[in-house]
Amino acid sequence: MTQSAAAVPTPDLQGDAPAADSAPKVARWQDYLALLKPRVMSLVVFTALTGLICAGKPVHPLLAAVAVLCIAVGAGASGALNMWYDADIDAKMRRTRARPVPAGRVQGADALTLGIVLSMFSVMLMGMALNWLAASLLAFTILFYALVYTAWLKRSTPQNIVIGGLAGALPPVIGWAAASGSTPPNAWLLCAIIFLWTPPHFWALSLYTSEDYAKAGVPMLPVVKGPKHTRLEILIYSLILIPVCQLPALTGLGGPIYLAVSSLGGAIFLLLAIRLIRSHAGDAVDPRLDAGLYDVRAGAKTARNLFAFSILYLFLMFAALLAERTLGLLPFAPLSFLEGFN
Amino acid sequence: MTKPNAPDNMDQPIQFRTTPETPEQAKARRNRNIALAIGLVAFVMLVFVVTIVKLGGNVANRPL
Repeated sequence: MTQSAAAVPTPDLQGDAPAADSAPKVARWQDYLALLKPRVMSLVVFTALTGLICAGKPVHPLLAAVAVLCIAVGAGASGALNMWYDADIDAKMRRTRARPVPAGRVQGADALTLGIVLSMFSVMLMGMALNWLAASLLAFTILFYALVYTAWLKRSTPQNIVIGGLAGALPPVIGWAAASGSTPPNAWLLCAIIFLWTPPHFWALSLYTSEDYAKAGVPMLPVVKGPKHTRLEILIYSLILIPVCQLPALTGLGGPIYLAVSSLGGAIFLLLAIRLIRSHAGDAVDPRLDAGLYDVRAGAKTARNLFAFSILYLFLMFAALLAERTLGLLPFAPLSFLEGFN
Repeated sequence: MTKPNAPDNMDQPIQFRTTPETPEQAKARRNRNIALAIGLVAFVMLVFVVTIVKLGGNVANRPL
């Protein structure tokens, strides 16, 4: 797993050929940590913890911590597999070219090995410590992200992040399964919220980073269908997402705090999506301008606003669910007569 | 026996050059090894503690 070992043997097939003039780059342990995408991992941990607590079943605190750890490591493993497979396109994009594999600090084979080993460890530990339903869901999530999204969808269809978003939406279901050994409709409702949230979130980002994706040949929606169509799709997904976000208040999953957050946040989300569709975000920019990757161009501010707020919206909704459960606020549930949500 | 079109040095053993390790590389390697050791020890301890938690009071209450 180390690239720059003590003394790197290089076969000398040319007899007296000169030694390689470029010494191997130094791989630090932080590079291996970077392979696990810690920022993505933090969101996964938060949503998985929400699912685990919303299950409402008593779990030993240590086992609950192990469940969250396994989900986090599993997410990190799929990130390492993603960085191994995507090293070629990562090298072409400004956003990703400094990652350890395209930068040459870690060999692709090392990233692959790390991903496989951590996947196996996390799934096995989840199965032994919690239950095998949660372990199976974790294994499915890792494989779905690595094989279906990374190796297949990402390079072949503009619907890549729509379908691939399932991998990012499953952690609360895994957390729920880890706590209760089952996956009732309310667990899948959390999954549906993240699943429907992913397209407007990522497409808002891709509206002002589409040049990078185009350069790498990744068929993101703005690259294939254009920014105008992307802005329309963002609005359509927002119109589906916001009502779905209200459902937990009806099924007994969320209470009044959740309802207030999801309603008010949903209204702001919709307002920003409407502002976006009326803007020119993502339209062609003057190629003479050498703007930074994340510089907010004149017409792209609306896209940036929606992207930033989408993160806050999801965070606040899940935080509200967590707060209601931990503070013991009883949710009112108009649909509670429909049994089986929990 | 040498094949007709083989290069002249085919029957010579492959010689490996070794690139001397720089102090920076040595330090990075040592830190990686420490991180790996910490990770492995933490995993072993975690499995042990999980086992104890899962067994719970059954360890003390088992039939002797």
